[in-house]
Amino acid sequence: MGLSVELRDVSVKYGDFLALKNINLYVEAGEGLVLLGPSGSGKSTLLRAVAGLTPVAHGRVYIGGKDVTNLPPDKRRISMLFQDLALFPHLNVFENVAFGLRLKRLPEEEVRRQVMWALELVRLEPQQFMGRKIYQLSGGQQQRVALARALVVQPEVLLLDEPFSHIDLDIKNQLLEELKILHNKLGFTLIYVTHDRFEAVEVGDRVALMRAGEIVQVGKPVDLYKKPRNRFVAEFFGEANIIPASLLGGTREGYAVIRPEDVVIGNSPTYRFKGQVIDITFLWHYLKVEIQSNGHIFKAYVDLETPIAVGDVVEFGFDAKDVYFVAE
Amino acid sequence: MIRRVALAAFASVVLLFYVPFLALGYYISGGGDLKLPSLSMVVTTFLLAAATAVVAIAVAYPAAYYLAKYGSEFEFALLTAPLWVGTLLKAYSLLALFAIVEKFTGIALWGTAAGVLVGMVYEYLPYALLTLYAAVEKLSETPVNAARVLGASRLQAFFRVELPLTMPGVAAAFILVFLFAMGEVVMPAVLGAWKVYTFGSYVWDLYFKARDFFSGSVLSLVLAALSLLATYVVVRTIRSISI
Repeated sequence: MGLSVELRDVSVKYGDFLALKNINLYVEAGEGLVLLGPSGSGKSTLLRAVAGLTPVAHGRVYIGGKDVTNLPPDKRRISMLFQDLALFPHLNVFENVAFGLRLKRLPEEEVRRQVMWALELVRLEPQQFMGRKIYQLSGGQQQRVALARALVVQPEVLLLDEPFSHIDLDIKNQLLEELKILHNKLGFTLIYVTHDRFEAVEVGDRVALMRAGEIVQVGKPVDLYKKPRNRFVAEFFGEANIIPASLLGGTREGYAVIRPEDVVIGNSPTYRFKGQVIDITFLWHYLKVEIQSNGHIFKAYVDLETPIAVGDVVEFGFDAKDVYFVAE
Repeated sequence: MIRRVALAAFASVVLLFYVPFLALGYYISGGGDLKLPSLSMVVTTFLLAAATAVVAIAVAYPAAYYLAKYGSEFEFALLTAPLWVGTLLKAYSLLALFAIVEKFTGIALWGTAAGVLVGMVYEYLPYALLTLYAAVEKLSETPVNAARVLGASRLQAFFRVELPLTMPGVAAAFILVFLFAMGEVVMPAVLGAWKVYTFGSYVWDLYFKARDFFSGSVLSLVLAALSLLATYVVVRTIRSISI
């Protein structure tokens, strides 16, 4: 059914470099949490600290309420998917998947049964694939094998470190979809690391956004999107117009965040601006229009049918209810 | 200029390596009288070479592993330094060492197969070390981590993942050391005091004592063929275990 994961005041050092700074995080049993952030933000390090692959310099790690800080990875009831290929090239598909079961010294019959179960789970036809060498598989198939290998040991917590970043978009979306189904079906706790916000919302019940070894904000995707804690969150988690609050009049300090879909061209109720269209990009179901005004470039998502061209001088604006203020 | 220099190299290889083939042809056509080595000599040679390779790899592997993962350049230099010393010098230095060992423990190594083995392992250890170092060094951390999170202890991860993945390096080290050791002359001569008599010593004696260049040539080819055959069998076996 999955176990909860908790980090209390966790710091990790690489030499003198503080890779994680006093992290506090609670992941509920069975929850899907995404660690999102630019490269170097410490998200993989956090995952490795949970796995026990990186020692923590300070703080405690709990899995299922039990202090596992000093336990080695093999005693933590976790499983993990890695970014670079971690399949064992000297073993075939069957033996790769059977690896964790063999360590438990299960009888051959049971190993076979469970390997079949896992391969079917990740939609690899056992008879067709189990005898294959790893190099005979495509990238997508390899990650399916890796997933089967991780799931066959029936982990309480599944950790994924950018597992699909080297895979074609179509196959990646398919795998993400299947991962979500497996997560619901098997009920393990899932912690997923990515730098891609589209992937993040695909798998995560909650998202923890990281920067420079710290968690900047953690919450439901919609909260991060609509109520970003600061400019970094607003920019990293979706596209945003960020302008000094003073530009909207009044004495307010800090910045105003307006999402491009809330920017209206033509008459708008509260805040009005005038500017020149400098770029238009076709984005399938809408147009992204960039408008220069008051020394800022505003982005607006508009209907495909909107009569607009580069060079046009337009009136645009947004409603007060669509403005969100951040201090920094 | 470069052509003439290259020619010298060619000439030496032709003389030392290809001319013996003529002797072999002469023998096969029925013209030569070959002084064959005894079977026990062949067996001794083979066992010594195999033992040298196995012991050298067993000793070098942990050191190569340590160097590749945690070692400093200084430690690396320390462990490979014996490469700088000639074989004959090593053999004589060991003679001194053997004398000391005998004085204090009563164990006589000079003139025994064990003594020769010690000398040969000493001589070829750096080659095994360098070969294994290259294999361990390019090993990525990820497969080991994958094994660990799947429930393998540090030791299990080594034996089930790292060791099989470095088996090509082990095979390469085996070939290198075994082939060198099959033709070894100096260590058996000095440390074995001609009591441990190997194929290499025999060929040496044919050339420089009996002055039977014909038998020496043919038998050096036979030795090369035997070495290659043995290597083939051993490497096949190693590969079938690992991949």
